Amino acid sequence: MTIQSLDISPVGRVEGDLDVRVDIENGRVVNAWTHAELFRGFEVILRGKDPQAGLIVTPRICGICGGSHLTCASWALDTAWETEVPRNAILARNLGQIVETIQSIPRYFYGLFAIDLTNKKYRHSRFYDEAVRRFAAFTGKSYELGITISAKPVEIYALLGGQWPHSSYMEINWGIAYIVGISKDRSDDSLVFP
Amino acid sequence: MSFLNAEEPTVCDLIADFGIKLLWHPSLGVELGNNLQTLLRDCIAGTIPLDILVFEGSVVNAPNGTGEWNRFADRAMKDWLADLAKVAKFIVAVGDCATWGGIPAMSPNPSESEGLQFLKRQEGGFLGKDFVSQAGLPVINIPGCPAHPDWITQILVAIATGRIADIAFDELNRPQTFFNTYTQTGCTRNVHFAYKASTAEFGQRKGCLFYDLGCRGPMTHSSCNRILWNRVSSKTRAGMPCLGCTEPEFPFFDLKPGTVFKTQTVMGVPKELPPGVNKKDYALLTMVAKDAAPPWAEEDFFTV
Repeated sequence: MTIQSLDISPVGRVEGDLDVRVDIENGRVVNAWTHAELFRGFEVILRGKDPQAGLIVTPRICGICGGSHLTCASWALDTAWETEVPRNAILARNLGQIVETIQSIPRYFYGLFAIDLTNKKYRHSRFYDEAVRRFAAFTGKSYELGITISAKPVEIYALLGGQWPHSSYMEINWGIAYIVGISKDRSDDSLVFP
Repeated sequence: MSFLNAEEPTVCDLIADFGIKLLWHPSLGVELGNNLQTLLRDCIAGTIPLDILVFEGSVVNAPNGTGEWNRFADRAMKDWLADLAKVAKFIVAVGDCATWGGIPAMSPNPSESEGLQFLKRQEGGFLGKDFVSQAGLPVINIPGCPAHPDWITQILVAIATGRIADIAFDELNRPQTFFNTYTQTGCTRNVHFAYKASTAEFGQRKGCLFYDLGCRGPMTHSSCNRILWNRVSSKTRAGMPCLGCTEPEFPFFDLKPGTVFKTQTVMGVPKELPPGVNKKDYALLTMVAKDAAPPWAEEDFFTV
């Protein structure tokens, strides 16, 4: 039996450019490769720069998970500099991470995934009309609702960092976000970390 | 994904209310693989009219001008762009990468990146200084890292409803409606700026970030404090210095050691002053402002 190769370029509906190649034998996938053919050289760019450049450059690697990159960059610097990160700063960082994750859930489901359920190849399914009503890109009832509310969680990120995406607010010491500064006098850490 | 945060109008409004037919989008488009390649070829051949080409990301030329470091749909991305740019009625560059080259084009620019019609402030870029799209306009630049989603959707609506001629552009082809005022315009720290009260360290609500923490709000053209981010705030309001990301020089000073979150000064005077202010007047203003400053200018009057 011959192996049939299938090249999908681009795969689409991912963040960035992605290609997939699969080998199919007897109707089964026997091998698969992914390749993302974009090199910008962020690591090369950061060499020799101010250490805090990591807080500016790394979040901008990605448009949907910049907060995760910022968290990692902040912790990496804190580790290198042996910073004692105050608990409120940790809270502010974690809140940013949490809301970014919540933001990505409806975007992944409605924006990236559920559209495929409306593919014409499924038109003989008895669920097809309902899928189209709900999930059709931009006009589906659930799609529109899901995409619109997906912007809400990161409003919390913007309160802490000024904007989502691409803030650098998880700064060393007290964090840039002023809320961290004021709460250091006011909050009782023991309530949060019993 | 910042685009999906658009509010006035939302992305769904663009499609449903303004009748924009989205041919394709890397994260949101329906077609994949060969179907997309056919769609793109139909656009290039003119079978499918391409009214608006929105381009994000820098134009990657490496290695050796081939663009092979950014392949898309089985070709170098820059080859697709060159073909599509010939047929598009309007071209909109979104974000710093597409407008001026952005972070990838920062020294040493390993990917040999450039923007569509600029590399930093230098005219030219990938399409050349004299390029105009089918409608006779140069590339419309909506810079920012990221560009504010409402700037994007509003410009797309202006094009789709035939009103783009009403919009004036600056010398960098940015729509003036968003880029004529400064980031500082509308900043809640303006009162502290006026009295020269500084935010000396992070985590404070009082004070202005311009004097010590390297804020570029007074020198940067954007509407970040008029059209708020995520509807609620802006970097400077939250206490994060403006990085000047709507200007071609971003990231400023190539982020060399000592330039990040730190105002560059000579003998205590900021090297860069708000546009149009000369050094002598600035020194005078500083003396008067400090003398006139009321005690509350140094208080955190937000905390009650």
